[in-house]
Amino acid sequence: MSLPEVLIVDDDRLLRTMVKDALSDVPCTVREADSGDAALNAITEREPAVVVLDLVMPGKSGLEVLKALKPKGLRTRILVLSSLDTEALVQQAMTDGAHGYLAKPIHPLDVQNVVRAALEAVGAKS
Amino acid sequence: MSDYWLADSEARVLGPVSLAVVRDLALRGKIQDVRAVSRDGRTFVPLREMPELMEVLSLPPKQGEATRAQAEATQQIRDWLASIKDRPSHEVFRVPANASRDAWRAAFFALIHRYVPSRLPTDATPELRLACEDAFLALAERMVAIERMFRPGAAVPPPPPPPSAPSPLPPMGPAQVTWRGGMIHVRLHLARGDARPFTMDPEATWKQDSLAVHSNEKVMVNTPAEVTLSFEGHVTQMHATGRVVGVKTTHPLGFSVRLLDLGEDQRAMIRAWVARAQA
Repeated sequence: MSLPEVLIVDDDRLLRTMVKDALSDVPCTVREADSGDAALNAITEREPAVVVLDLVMPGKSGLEVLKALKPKGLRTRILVLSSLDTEALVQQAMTDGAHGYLAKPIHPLDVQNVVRAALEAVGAKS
Repeated sequence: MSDYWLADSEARVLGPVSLAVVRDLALRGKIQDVRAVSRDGRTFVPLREMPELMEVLSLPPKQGEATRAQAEATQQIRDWLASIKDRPSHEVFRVPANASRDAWRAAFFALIHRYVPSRLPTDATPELRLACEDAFLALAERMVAIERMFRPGAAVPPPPPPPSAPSPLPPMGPAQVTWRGGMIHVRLHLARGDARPFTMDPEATWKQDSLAVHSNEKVMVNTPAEVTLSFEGHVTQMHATGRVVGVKTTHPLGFSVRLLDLGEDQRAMIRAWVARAQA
């Protein structure tokens, strides 16, 4: 049985590396995308179990990615990762289809825990 | 509901968001670098062409909000530091006790990222800055011990224990005092955990913006003083001017200086330093 896949979407390479490192103990494979457009392409190509999504990126923003994915009715769990953690924006992201919201700066263990929970919620054993 | 897209100087885009969301972000001080805006996410114009956004984005952040968030972050870091104090490093780094050097390093870099002081916003409170530096140093000290285990010839590792309690402070040496015209220049380097200059003379403590200087230099009350303080583990030094307000004629000799132009940030830095030393 293949491992569940996590797609990390952030234009900051350091942040992607950090999240990837944090997931090294979680049985999953990791793909990366550095923009909203790249994320949509990656998701169209193969539906990941979990997406960790930044909101502010060049080209398509994270909110646009959420809006584009919502009508597709995917099983993918989307976790937003952003320093813009005001109540109104969190609410909007959740309405647009996010399943969770992680505020930057993040602790690697928080990432691990939240991704594990998302993988379990989507039915992928971690 | 009107939707907007905001782009920063690196062409990173947030949107679509309502004006209410933008206002909320501006009041929380979360967006400061908006260069171009759009109503459709495709055509961007300079911010000045959308006065309604200009107005919202020029709102000053609510002071209380920012301060509260930083106080919460500071407390979280302090709680975390207290929670790891007696835990062995492999538990703190979340690696097996016999992890490879690469695994230790990867875990270290993943953890330390959060506490790098240079990543803090410029308006970070001194308390938050100090807490981050403490976390940074605590992790770095453990990593130094771990690296030592992997040196050629080192015995194979039992997992490193938590760092031992700090040793008692050594007796204070005299400060470096030099004369410049009719003014003295005092240089003090404070080791971690040492706040004695701010506490040892009950008549010249940090609460009175004062400090005691251990020195054999002969000075007079009212002599103008320029003080440079460096704090171990901190990059920046503190400069302040003041006057000698007391001279000690019994051993150990010295004098006390009242600092006259301390800013709130500097006061908070000293307060946090004293609190940490007394903790």
